Amino acid sequence: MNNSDSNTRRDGEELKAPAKLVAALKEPLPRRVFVPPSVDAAILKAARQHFAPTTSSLSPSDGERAGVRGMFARILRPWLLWPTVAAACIALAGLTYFASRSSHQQFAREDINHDGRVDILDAFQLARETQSSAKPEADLNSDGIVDRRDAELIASHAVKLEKGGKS
Amino acid sequence: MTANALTEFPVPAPETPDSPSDQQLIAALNAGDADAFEPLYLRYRDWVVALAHRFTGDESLALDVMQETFLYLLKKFPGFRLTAQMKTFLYPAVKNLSIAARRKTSRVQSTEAEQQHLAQLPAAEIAFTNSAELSAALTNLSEDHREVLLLRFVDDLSLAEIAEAISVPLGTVKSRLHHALETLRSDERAKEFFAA
Amino acid sequence: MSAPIQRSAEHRLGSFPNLLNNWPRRSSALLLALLLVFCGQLFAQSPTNTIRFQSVEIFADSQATALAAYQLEVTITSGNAKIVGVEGGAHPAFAEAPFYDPKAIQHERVILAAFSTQPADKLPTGKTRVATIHLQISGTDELKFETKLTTAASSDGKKIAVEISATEQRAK
Repeated sequence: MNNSDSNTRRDGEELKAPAKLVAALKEPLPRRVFVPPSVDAAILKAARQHFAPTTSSLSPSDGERAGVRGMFARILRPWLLWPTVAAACIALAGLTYFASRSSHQQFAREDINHDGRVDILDAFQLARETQSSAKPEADLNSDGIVDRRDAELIASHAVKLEKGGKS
Repeated sequence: MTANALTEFPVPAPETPDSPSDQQLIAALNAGDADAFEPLYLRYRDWVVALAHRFTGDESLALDVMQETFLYLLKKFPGFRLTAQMKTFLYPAVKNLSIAARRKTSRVQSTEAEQQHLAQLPAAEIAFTNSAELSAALTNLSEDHREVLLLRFVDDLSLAEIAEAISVPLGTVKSRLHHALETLRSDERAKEFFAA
Repeated sequence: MSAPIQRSAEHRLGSFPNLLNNWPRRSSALLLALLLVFCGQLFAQSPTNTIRFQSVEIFADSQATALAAYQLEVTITSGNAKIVGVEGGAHPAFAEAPFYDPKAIQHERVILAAFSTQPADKLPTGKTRVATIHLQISGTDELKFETKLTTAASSDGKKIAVEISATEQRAK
């Protein structure tokens, strides 16, 4: 049971935590949940589909309001749909090809070798780089150091089963 | 136009003063700009999955819950009005979806060994912090008290935002937070964090 | 009060006067017989309750190239076995247990992966055992499993072709 007096009393100092406690609570854990790129892709794809305009979005009232231009748009649109889709696919395929060769492509942090997959080869490459003079920027466990532990983190993610171990 | 999702893996862009606010992104989404979803998603993805992991204690379930949370958010558009912090809005969704996910998992587990394994899952397995002693002390708190404490000091929600997120009166939030801090203060395992 | 009890005990055992007279020897024999029957019941399990353990050795053949990293999948397809343990391989470079998801334990599929940053001359070539998985098999049906290579690399990080095979370890 809370009354106004206890609420007033509980404002201020009593509801503040020591800085040391807050720092400990906020400190990032060494093992964060790895979000596979495929999951990102699936969600963003769902978003694009959700916001994609539908073919029936142009209602009869919209067409009338747009006049002749709208009428032709309504009539011609189905005829243009498939050629448009085909052209878009070709453009997309071309973009994919060039994007894969682009030096500005973005990859998951764990995809060290930028092959589009996170597997043991990424862990292996990071492990080799940490032993060499290279200074990889892959502090995956947020401990301030890039070392074999980051490589092992990638390896442990690479062997994760999606849904338990059921085949 | 973004490149094919199969070859481009988005990473959260570092936040700058020029980064669009949540309200701006939501306004763009309500206007039908699909490109505004990606920055919003990346901004909260890691927080949502970490929160889901906090509730479920299972990384696979956390990923499932994260996906369902953002699909739930998607369905709000167009017409979504954000009246509080984004975390305040997402928190109950993540919590409820996590509870549902754990219940669903326990229902489909058929063998005794698997059910035993599931029964032994978190809170014992959840490391809330890097300090084992502090994590143990947190585990000792009631779920309600721990929830408010973490929302306040880890997720940085204000007391009013916490009250809205978990649908309790502000006074109840204050009371729970007070009790949580007092319990930790008197716990030997957390004493070092209260030492002057 | 004890007298009626004695009488009923005597009455119960009255049909076996010899048994009563030879209690120490007969009781031992009776106990032994009961024990044997119990043990027989214990071990005489029906085929569906039979549990056995089997090790499966996983081999990688990189031929002339030194193997530095691999990732592969093993799946039990006969539906009668679960993975209960994972061990490292024969060569020192892969002697430690490979990386695997602990969730694979008590299930039918596992992804194994390992790497070694040792120089090429300290890495295995040819056919080498890279891991051993231990299975708990129920019933008497034959064990069937599949292996699939995901990727492998040489010491310089280049992908290489590797042949994966697996065999049940024979009892010694």
